[in-house]
Amino acid sequence: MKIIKLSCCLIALILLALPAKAELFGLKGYVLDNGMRLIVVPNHKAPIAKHMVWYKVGAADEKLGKGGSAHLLEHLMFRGTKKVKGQAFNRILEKNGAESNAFTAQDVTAYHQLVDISRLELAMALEADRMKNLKIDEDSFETERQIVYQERKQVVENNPLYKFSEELQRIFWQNHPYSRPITGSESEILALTRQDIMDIYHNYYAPNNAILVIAGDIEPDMAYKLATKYYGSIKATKIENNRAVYNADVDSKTILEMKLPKVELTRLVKKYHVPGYSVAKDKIYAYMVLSKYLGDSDVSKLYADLVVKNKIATVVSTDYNFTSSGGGSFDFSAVPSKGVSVDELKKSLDEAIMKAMSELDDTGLERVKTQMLSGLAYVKDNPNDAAQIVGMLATAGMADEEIENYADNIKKVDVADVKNAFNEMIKSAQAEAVIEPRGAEK
Amino acid sequence: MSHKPLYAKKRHRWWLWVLIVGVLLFGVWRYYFVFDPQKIIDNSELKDRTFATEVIEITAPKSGIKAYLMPEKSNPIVSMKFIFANSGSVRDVKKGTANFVASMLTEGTESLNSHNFKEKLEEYAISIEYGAGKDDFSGSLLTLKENLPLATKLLHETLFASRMEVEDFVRVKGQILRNLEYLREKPQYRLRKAVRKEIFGMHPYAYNVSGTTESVKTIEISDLRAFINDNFVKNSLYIGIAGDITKEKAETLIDDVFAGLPEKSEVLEIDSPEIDYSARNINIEDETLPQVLSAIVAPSVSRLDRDFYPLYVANYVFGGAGLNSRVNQAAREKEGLTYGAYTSMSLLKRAPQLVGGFSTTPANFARMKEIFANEWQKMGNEGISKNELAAAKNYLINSYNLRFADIGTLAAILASMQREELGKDFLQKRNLYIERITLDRVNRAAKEYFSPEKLIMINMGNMKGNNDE
Repeated sequence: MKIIKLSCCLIALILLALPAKAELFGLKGYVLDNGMRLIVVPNHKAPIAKHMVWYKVGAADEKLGKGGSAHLLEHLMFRGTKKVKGQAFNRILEKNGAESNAFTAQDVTAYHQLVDISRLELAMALEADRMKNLKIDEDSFETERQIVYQERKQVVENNPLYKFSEELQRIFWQNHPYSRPITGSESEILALTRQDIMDIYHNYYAPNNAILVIAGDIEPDMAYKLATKYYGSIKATKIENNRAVYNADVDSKTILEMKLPKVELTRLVKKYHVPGYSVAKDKIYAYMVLSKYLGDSDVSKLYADLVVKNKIATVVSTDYNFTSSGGGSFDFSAVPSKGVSVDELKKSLDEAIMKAMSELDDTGLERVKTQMLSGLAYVKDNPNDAAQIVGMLATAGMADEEIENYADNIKKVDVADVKNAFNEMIKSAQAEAVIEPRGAEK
Repeated sequence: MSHKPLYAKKRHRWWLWVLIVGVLLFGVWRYYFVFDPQKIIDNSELKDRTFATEVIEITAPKSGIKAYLMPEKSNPIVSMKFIFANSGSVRDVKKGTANFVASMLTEGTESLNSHNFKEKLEEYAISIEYGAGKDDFSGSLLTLKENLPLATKLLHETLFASRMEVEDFVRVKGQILRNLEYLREKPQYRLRKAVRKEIFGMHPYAYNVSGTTESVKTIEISDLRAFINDNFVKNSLYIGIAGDITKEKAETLIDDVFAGLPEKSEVLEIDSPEIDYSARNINIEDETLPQVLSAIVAPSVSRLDRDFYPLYVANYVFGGAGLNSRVNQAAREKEGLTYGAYTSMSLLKRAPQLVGGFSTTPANFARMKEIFANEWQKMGNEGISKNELAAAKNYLINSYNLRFADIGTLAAILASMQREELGKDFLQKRNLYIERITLDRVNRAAKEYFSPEKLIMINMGNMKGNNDE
């Protein structure tokens, strides 16, 4: 009901930032008879558990003109079922000390509760109930539509950069559904009907289109037993999945230049279409290493060159998103130092990237891989993080072993893989975007 | 003759059938239309798990420094949080100094330049972070158990052999200045800035911990060194350690990192701000904003005040319970006026306050404000009900274990238990404190602090043309 925008890159970021052991989580996976996938990550530090249900449906699945319907549905999921009427869902969970929330992204909608382990079954019962029995009356529909309208104003439009971010998505993804905002536009939100919402609910909310993740103080077999008890009787339905993969073969470069009031910092973003997990499973690890090597820390090549040595930028970073079903993306972002022009920054960034790639050797690569793998023990520490990462990777289509074998897959990457990935990237479709304060000199 | 008993038997069966069908219908009704949370909890296979939260007070042998320790061996990692009390931005001679120090401490040591230092941290997955708050300066360490010796050494060097190279200093200064520009882009930051100025006037609380563009420009390396000398001292130090570490190793860790700190010389008093809480409404016009953003401020109590728990509950019911809070129920859930409103207890040492906020489009603003004010007055006049108290206690007790999700938070809790003087047995006693809260105490606290005479509201946005009296 709250968080609307989930950067898929967050996962890459956590994985890349948090420094390893053969198995990443020590998870165990199951599939219920009705097709619902269950992943359990045991963590016995405290008697608590994170319970998440991830539906493989998001803003990208909306019909044209119906922007915001997946997100509004997410809100309405808290407005009552045949059995758990009105706002009882929130009240029951509150009384039982749960932290409950949900979020909608382009590819997924997820519902989650952090609970004392004695309340895990309660959370499961409530979540299973609203997978099929949602009941939305016109009054709560109308109110909730107003709330998501206010949410768009507050979370998106109050930010002076929002127009820039939305334009950038638009020019980068062109005619792909990702080009549209997750919240929907203002006019789309206000025109949504109850039927639009129920269409998504009936078409996509089913056990065979959902992944259940439980991380916490529970044994896998017990989790499976309980999952069967609460979710097992829900019938599978036929899911139509017409997701498009962006056609990145086009050799194009789209340029966006904006000047906006209230913006004080100039920013440069270069965004490339690259393979993600849905397109080329075997390539993603080379791109992860590439991102870490170039710009994903304060010891990365670009930071050392542009920020520390040449003082061209105060911030520079890279980000690789591989979990989106529509295709991956690789970003460079930079903020110029005071007195440095955008053109100077662009030129220096390109030179720094090329220089870093020419310097890439086995020693440098091993160093980066060590950084990526040294602290993987931390990802298991917090069941909230573990559930979030596992859920994201699983909804992207990764099998349990693939998730667990992260370290081995990183270790296999060699210099040639990284260079090939880079060469493929710079030849693919891209967008270059600049935002400047209004009144700034060109 | 024979048919009478038969008939009687038949009648008997008929009643039996009614009964069976009735029971079945009742069962079906309950199954499909009644959700019984308590039954699920009572029958849960996972109930009755116990959890040991034993806190050990340790004393490092060489230095005599005391700390709280909670050994936790499920993952081979160790976390330490340490606080230098009263060394936050309230201590700044030039605004932004504490924050600048926090940024510079991880920019290399005498033996490792900035790049090599950071690379070492990455290679061994050691996290060392510093941060300045308004009241306190704090640091944290997160390391794998196997790398504890190296982590100890590096952490020690950040405190005692900080590099402070001119080049790094200039770069970090540039980054802080850029970050201030970034903050100014955010309407919430501009609103909070106006609020701080209105409430705190000339007191150091009136400034963001990052300082101002003008003040940061004047900061020199010598200012940072002076801050370190004045503030990193044994007598204001509070330490919490959690994770896969023994008592002996934890004591050694403390000595190896902190033993060389001086005892403090003279203690500098910091005045509390003099705040005029008399009710007022201040509007700041900004027609570029799609919404009106509002902040509220009212007086509150400190952590050890006897009204702390009662007021905590009153605030929870009013604006602390998320969507279930009174203010969200009235404004969001019933009328859809806002994405959310909240209030919380700010525990600034020298000015505990009830703070809160909401935002809404200009057309809704007058109504939103009215609801907030009405609910505020209602809370002061009527307090909360028995059921609300019970629900709040249930939430506070049932959510208690959720705070133990990660090892860094555990260490932080242990450090702040000492900083706030909550006692070594706080984790065992906390739920008892909650259970003891009485309705009478909550409502007395509500009457005192949810007073319309002491409610400041500051609004920013496009308010022209709205019937805002």
